Amino acid sequence: MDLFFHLRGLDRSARLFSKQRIYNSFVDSQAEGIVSVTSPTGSTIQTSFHTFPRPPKTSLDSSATSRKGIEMTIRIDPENNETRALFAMADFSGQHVLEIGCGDGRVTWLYADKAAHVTAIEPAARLIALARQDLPAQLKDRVEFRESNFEDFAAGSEPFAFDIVILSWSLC
Amino acid sequence: MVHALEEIYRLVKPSGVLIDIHPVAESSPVEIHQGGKIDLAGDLSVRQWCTDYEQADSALTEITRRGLFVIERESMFDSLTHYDSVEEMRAALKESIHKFARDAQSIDEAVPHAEAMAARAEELMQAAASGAELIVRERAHISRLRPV
Repeated sequence: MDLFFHLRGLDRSARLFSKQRIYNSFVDSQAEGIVSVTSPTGSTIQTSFHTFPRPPKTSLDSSATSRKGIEMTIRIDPENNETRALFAMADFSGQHVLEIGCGDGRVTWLYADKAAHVTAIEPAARLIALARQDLPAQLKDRVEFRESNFEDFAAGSEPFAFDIVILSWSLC
Repeated sequence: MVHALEEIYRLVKPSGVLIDIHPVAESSPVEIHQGGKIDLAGDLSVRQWCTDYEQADSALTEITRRGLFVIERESMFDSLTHYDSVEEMRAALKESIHKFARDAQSIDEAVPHAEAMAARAEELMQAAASGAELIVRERAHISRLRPV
């Protein structure tokens, strides 16, 4: 059973720690809910979780030792309204996907495990760094995050290269 | 934006699809949820300061009018952002305004509005018992377009 987490704004060690705690506590007992988790910094956060067939992006590795503080706890779409809407639009299985404006990979993680290959571009270096940081080993050969604006990317791309192109909140 | 969509038309396979997700130009209510009750702190009037919400709709209309893509499917959904504190929401709003505002004047207009709304949210959160949630509800449009 895979778990889908919504842990926004935590540093990497806090996210991994939280995921481990939630996984250990709830994977066999509940399908979804809200849980309080004490982070490595000693702060307590509340986060939602639910079971979901998602990419296995969490290593569930609690060995991270960073002690950076929690910056912010924001959860975007824990109701999964966007996930449902996205999967109602396309079947990502075996597809070559281009995602434009991927940010920190929030939308990428919804479908990446199903796709044959994902090229996700984002002009903001800070966000691409976050996305790369979260990229699990098992997806490294299939998901490529590129720091680029779309114009530059398109200029260097071959025609008819993608089965699915996603404009991910990037027209504005 | 239309040019970007033309480039996407070049990159996507003839059998492929374009999926567009973008927020709609409506106000985004700021809600305090507690025990099944929802109090409204106000609306974020993004239309007043964001350049591109309506341009996104216009660009999609233009490329379908020109026959590059046809819309096969479309729907709307609410994307809810949950904040654990008003301070978190303030910081996020400030970042969004500076990122998406059309010009300096828009920033000057949007910031006080967002601050007033945050202050109202703060009052409601203080009046609420612990466990109240601060949620910004953003309406989004998703569509599936097929190249012609």
